[in-house]
Amino acid sequence: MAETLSESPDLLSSAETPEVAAPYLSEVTAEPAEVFEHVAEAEIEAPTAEDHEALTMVAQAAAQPARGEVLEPLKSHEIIQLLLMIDTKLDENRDRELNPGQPMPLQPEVSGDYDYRMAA
Amino acid sequence: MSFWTATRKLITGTELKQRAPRSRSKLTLRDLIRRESAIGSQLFGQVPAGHRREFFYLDSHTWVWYEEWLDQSGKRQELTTRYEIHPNGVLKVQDGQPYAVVEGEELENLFLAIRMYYDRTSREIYKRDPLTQQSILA
Repeated sequence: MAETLSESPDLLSSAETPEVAAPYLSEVTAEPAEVFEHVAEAEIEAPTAEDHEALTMVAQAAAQPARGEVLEPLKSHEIIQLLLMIDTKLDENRDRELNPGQPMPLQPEVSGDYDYRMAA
Repeated sequence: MSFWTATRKLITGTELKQRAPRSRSKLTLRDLIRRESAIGSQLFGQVPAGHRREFFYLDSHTWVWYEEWLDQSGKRQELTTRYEIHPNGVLKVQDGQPYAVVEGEELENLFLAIRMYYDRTSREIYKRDPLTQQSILA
């Protein structure tokens, strides 16, 4: 195994944007089959309307510049839903650029943001 | 008429010529990824001398962090880390290593980096508001 990022000299300590530290690389211990054992089926219940509203608000906040912003701690499953949503929006940005003039898929009727359930 | 358009007209007496639309169709996905990665590589601070860094969204909920540097003996070292976003968790895999679940601080840092990536690429490459995805070109 090559040198890891956490061992690489000056790599992580060089960050000049303190609001984002590089993702550190923790020990890799899990076997492939074990990876999702403790998150299997993940206790992720179907989102309620309140969940949806809260996630939409968080997503709107997430789309704003992070500098100087104080966010309430997010739960892991909220972060994951937001990451899936952001990925989908990145795909949309690329699709628009590569296929100008092509109609985009129907957008959900959620004010200002994407329905995370469609991205999941 | 915008302030700058009006100012130009006042100074030069002429209207600003309409620019020909940029031909976007010639761009490839690779081009876009390269542009995005140029931004992604900046999200973690200045890249140390002798290092090369890439951080970009590949596709299908997969992110790539590539780092290349010279070790003390001058030998080139490289490390590719792939993050896969799944509905029930984020997985990380490195060359020759088994998958690992990304949790805690690492997950939060990855989230912050991806947020900034989306925000900056939307504004700087795609010229769109990251929240509404509406064009920000005047």
